[in-house]
Amino acid sequence: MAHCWGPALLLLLLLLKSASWAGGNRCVDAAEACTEDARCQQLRAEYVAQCLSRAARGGCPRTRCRRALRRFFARGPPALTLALLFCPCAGPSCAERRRQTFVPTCAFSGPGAEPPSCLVPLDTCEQSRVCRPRLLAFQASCAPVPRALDGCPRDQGVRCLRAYAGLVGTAVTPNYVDNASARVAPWCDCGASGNRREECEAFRGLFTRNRCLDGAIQDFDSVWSPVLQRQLDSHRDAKPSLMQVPSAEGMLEGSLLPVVLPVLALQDLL
Amino acid sequence: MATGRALLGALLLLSLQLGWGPEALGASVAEETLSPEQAADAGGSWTPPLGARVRRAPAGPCQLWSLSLPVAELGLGFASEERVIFRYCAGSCPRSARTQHGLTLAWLQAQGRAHGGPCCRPTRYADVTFLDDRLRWQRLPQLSAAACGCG
Repeated sequence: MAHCWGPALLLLLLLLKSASWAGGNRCVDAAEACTEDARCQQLRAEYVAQCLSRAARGGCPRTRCRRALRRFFARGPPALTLALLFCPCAGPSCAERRRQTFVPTCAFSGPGAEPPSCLVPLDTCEQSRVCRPRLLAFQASCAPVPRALDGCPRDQGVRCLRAYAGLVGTAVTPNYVDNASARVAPWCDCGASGNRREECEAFRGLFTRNRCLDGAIQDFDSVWSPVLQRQLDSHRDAKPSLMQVPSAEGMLEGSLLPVVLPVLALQDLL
Repeated sequence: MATGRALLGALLLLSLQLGWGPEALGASVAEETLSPEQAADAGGSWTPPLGARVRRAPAGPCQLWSLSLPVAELGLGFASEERVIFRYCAGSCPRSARTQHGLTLAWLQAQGRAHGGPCCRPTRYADVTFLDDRLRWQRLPQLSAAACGCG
């Protein structure tokens, strides 16, 4: 009799654990991790509110939306904000969720139905106090190195990713191009670029033909996320949050008990 | 008999090894094995036995509680893979309320001229946002409580 309980209980507990995973959608996991952090959740709610609202002239308030997005990536904990941007995906629904993460209908595409020439956002960025340093940082941190395995300068993958995230909400906001791959590009093309075509292609190639960027995005989950998570955890341990809700702590402490209680209860049956 | 105890002991160690301690997954384990009211009640020092649904009023002063729920369980008809945090206010309010309204109400109640008593309610709200199953953003303004007070 005693021998029957052990494996059955183990199976039950394993089923419970797997039921609590959202079917392995890493982007959903990233969203929930952000929800559970007060700062991340507040910043996320802020940009969603701005990017979903209506502007006076119709459409969405792009300036305010983009500003709120920049604030999200600047002030939010990198482990959580970058996880929302670079969550690894195997299927189209996960990839589509990843593509929709920063409300691209407002922040990424438009105004107008057709993407402009890449020279337009490039020139705008060069003249912007906000965008220009970020673009330079991106070019520096994500410059591909021929000899490196993943294409990035040694151990600079996370800097490249943070520089990329710094471009979200600027004139050259990049996003995933479809829900079938991890290719990224700004919302523009090089069709009508005249005699500046090479310049246009070179700029677009920073996103579409960049081995360092591709490698860093691919490595995010396995290599960079644990590093950032450790930083986040040590930061949390050092500075207890004043916004902590009493029940949240109790909920975490009490959650070990449901595992212990059935085991102890069963012990009495033996 | 001894084998059974050893098995259970090993099971407990295994579950701790699998990282079911009080970390991020701990909250989701709590949701699977406790009902939402029980999870909220776990904020106090007493954890109800498994399977019991708690109906009595929570002990302790008026304070902010939080629940982690799948969006479908908000009861508003939305469907999403995400879980959201829903915060609410619960707890007892001492007779000495802190607002003008509470003071006058307590005075009138003492005289028998008004019903009930000061109640624990939200003083500030927060939005809840998520991507639904059709991958469209949904924003539920002022859905969750952000701060509580007796009034």
